[in-house]
Amino acid sequence: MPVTLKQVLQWLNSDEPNYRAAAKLGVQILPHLAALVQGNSPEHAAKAASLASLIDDDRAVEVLSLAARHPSPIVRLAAAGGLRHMKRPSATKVIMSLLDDKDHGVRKLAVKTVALRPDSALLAKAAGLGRTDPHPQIRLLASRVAGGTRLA
Amino acid sequence: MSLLDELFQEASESNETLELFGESEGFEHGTYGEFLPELGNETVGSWLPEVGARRPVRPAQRAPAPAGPCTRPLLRGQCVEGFDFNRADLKARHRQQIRDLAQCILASQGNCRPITSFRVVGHTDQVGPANFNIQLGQRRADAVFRELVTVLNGLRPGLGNQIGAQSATESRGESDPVDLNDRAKDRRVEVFLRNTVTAPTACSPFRARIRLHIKIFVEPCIPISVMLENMRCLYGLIGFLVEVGSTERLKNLPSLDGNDAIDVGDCVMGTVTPEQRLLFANRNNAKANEIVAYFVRATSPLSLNGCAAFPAGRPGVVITSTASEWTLAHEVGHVLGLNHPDDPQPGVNRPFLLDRLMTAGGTANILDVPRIQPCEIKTIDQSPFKSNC
Repeated sequence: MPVTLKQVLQWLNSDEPNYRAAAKLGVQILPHLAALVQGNSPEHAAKAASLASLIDDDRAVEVLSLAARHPSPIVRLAAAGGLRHMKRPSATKVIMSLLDDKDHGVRKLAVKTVALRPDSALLAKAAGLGRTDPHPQIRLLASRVAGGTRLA
Repeated sequence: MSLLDELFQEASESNETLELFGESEGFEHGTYGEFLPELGNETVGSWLPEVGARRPVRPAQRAPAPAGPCTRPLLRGQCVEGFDFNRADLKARHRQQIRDLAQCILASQGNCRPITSFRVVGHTDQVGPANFNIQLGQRRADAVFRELVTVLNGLRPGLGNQIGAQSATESRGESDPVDLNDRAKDRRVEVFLRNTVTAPTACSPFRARIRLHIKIFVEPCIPISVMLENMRCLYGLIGFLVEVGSTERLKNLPSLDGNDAIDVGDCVMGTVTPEQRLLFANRNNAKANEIVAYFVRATSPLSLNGCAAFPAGRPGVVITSTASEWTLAHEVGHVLGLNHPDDPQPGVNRPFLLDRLMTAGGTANILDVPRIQPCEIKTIDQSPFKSNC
């Protein structure tokens, strides 16, 4: 039976959505999640990105890509955090874009995601941030990630 | 949505003023008119516009921080329209709508934000001499005021007199039009309701106290004062005094700052991440059984409004910038041992219990003061994170 947008919202409206249970609704909800990410509620957009991150599908990466371009940093944070769950190669490009985000909280979270997803291109990017990022915490963190130090 | 739902839906962030009695009025021939009230220095924060045409009249000022008894805005209600031109007498439908309003005021007496006064403002269109319209607007306001007091007294003897004694009328005459192209819309009466919550000063007669400490990395969209007031109201109703032991702005920690999303993992009680341990180590002023609320920008890797997982011996909650006005009370409820009564299940279609604080349906969807069930009160009674009075 098709899942409606209203049903998806029922899961996301919670203060602490049970994302792992909701993700069992499967790929059929990805169009709804894409719509929510592009909607006018940053809260729903962020939660939709989080839910998409737990669905193993290239279309879920597309949802996260939309979230990564959202004007609200709260939504971009959700994308940066969620990408740690994404094993698909296509996610690399999205993470790369978030490593260049103008919000240092987003960049920092993206660096943490790189630590959990070692990839040569991402590690090279992290190494660059370790030298050039204007935020000292990010330089330190990125250097550790690029150097292979395991984060606590 | 019922009238009660609408009336008590809060709009602390609202900048709308709604009209109660819209109208069709007037004086003949354009000799007399009416105007729009200038709500002037009155704020929505202290007077709730109410009941009205669901049509914004004008942006209102943001409420200042209340001093002493706190007040909350209410918004929404019904629209009453149809004063005759150059008349101030109430029609049958006006009386019905005033009865509905009185029922809402009566119902509020049983919750933690009782409506304690109202202000009735009469308006006219801009036809006619301004002085005449001032008098006409006043007559309309007086008519609504008298009817409201009478109906309230009928519902509960003395209630109308009690609230009426704290209330007032005024006329804005023709000076506050809402639509210069439709004079009928300017002929109206607005009723502003005010509710009052008095912060308790002593633990008695409460059964126990819950002591919070506020640590702020980031101010949430909903003011912390609103979340605290809601929590005090709700927990106070069931006999628990909510106290704030201290408030502190967190400065950047060695590896965390206010722009960070705090890693809370899957937010499972009893399981915490290194970042949670780092954050929850900041317990200045808090005793072992006191709860610390950390206001942060966001959570990662998943976006939550709040999370009640805490390290052993460091009770606390994380509240994010997207939290609702009930999230703090909800998350503290988890710390006190309460669970969601209505967690969704795949393939099971059942309604959420949106009248319950601990609903899994999202506290942002709670329309009125939510309930805490007797069995939940027993659970809180057994919590180690409250202390007896």
